[in-house]
Amino acid sequence: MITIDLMNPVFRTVFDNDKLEVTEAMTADDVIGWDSLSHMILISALEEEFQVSFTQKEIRKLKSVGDLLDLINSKL
Amino acid sequence: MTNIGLLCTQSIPSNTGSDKVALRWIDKDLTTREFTYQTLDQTSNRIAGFLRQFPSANPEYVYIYSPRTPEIYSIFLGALKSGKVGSILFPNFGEDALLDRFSVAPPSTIFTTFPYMERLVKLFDRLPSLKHLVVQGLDNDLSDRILSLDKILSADFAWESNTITPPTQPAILHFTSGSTGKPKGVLHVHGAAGSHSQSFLEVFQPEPEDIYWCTADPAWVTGTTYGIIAPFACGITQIQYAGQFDPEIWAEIIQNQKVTLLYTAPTVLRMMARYDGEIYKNLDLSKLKRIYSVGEPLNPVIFDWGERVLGKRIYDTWFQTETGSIMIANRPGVPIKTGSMGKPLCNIEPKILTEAGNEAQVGEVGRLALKTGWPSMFMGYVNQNDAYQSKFEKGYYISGDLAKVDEDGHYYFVGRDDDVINTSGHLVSPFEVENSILELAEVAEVGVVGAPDELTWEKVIAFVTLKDGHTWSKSLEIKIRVYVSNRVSPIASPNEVIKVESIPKNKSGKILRRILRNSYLGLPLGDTSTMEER
Repeated sequence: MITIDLMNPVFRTVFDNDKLEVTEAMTADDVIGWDSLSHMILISALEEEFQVSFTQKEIRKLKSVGDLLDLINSKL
Repeated sequence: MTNIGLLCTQSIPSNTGSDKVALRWIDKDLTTREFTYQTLDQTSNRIAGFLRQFPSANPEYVYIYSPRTPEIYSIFLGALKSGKVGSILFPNFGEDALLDRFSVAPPSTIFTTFPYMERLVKLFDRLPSLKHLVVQGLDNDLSDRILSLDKILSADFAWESNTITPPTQPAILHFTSGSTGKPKGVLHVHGAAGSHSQSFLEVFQPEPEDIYWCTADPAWVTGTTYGIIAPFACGITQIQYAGQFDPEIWAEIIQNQKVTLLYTAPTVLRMMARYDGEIYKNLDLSKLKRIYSVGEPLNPVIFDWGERVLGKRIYDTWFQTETGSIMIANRPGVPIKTGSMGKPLCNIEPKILTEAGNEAQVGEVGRLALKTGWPSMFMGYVNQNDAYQSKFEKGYYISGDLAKVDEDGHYYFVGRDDDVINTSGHLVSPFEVENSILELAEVAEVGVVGAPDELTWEKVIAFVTLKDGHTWSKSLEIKIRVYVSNRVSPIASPNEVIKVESIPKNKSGKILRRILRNSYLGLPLGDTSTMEER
């Protein structure tokens, strides 16, 4: 089981913002640089960090950081 | 009236009025705000009045570095009204990409939004030309250098046009990527508006009641020419959406906003087609008359999808940053051949040239060239006259694209004549990506190429060798992708990073990209006689 605190460093690295504090309610609109292209880089980074793998269908359904957290935890 | 800012806000066709809606802005939550031509004129006047306070030697560059906001339109047109050169930058540009561009054309003023301010403040020491950073979302000025946009827009900066803008005066700055060197600053003049409007009327054939949507980011030449200048200069109502691409939301917008003319990219259409049958069943697209595409070739399969699933014709168009406006297009009244990008517009004279500079035979692939002289032809690359001159041969502009023409005069795009990568309609310089990757301590050498991709036309592939003591891992691959995304832009970030033992080079050290590309595609390597021995 991972927590939001464990995801935060990945977000900071991908979006080049060492002050970023993600919350479960956050969406792409709340993070500078989180667009459809950087989203795929974020997904790869999270897959590597937590040694999980997402399908395209799962990725399409994601709407928030909380959705990502739930998805990762469902695979651990 | 040749000033583009004035043309777009004050020369509305007589069958419309200044209270006509120029821009219907759709926020991310799908609420809308409307801006009339009169509002656009007033707000852009305030920007022009503010900028006019600081005269300096021409040309002076005013940048907009911001996510999509309705204020971008007034800022851009206000900058042009004031006689400055306006340039809109992609908001996903990283530090390296910004500095590369600012080193070509130093900024005097940058407009941004509060969340982006910090990125620019970090660069202050390296931007001595920068007089003002104007920030949307600040209640008050933070210093003499960091000013509040909100204050400027609510202040009474009196401005009226009291000078005549020569048609040859620089107006717009775009950046384009080359296969070597840093990005080039492509300058266009105020007189280009003639091409912008004429091509819009010829290709889109708008009617006064049309609702037009150009989905391109305003930082892209398409977004500037056909998302700002042409529709405003022609008095059309356009919509713009603040959010990112989402097929379901976009389909809903087209339906609910009663969009009649849609201009978008084949990548978008391909992504929409992947949802075939799911989201279009109950959609009412009866108002949508035509779809146009630009940036990459329109695949016949997507053309067929448009007719079969949407019941709409998709018209492909072709132009470049340097041409400033559409040169070749499919359009109503011109027979369409699937796979062809259409026929030249009025007064545009393309030619297919062989390597030797002779005109190619019908059906023969050659270099696509255009007879010089159309109004929106670029006037130069900033401070790179040699590069500018190299784009011309015997009175023709050499586009860098390979194409062929058939017996009926229909043109077909074949590919690039250089190493520039076209991904989702954006040109990516392999040199820029390589330079970024080489900054990483683990990487010894790198070669970047484009490879075909079903969705984005081409994807970015990086080949790397590692320095002694470093080992290859998935983490390192992601580190490289993230690094390029942050330093250059996400669009330039490699889709794949492949570790190799060596990067093929010729004897003078030039990377042999053909060999990298062929090895990736599993094709014969071809002539390797010039390859450096290792």
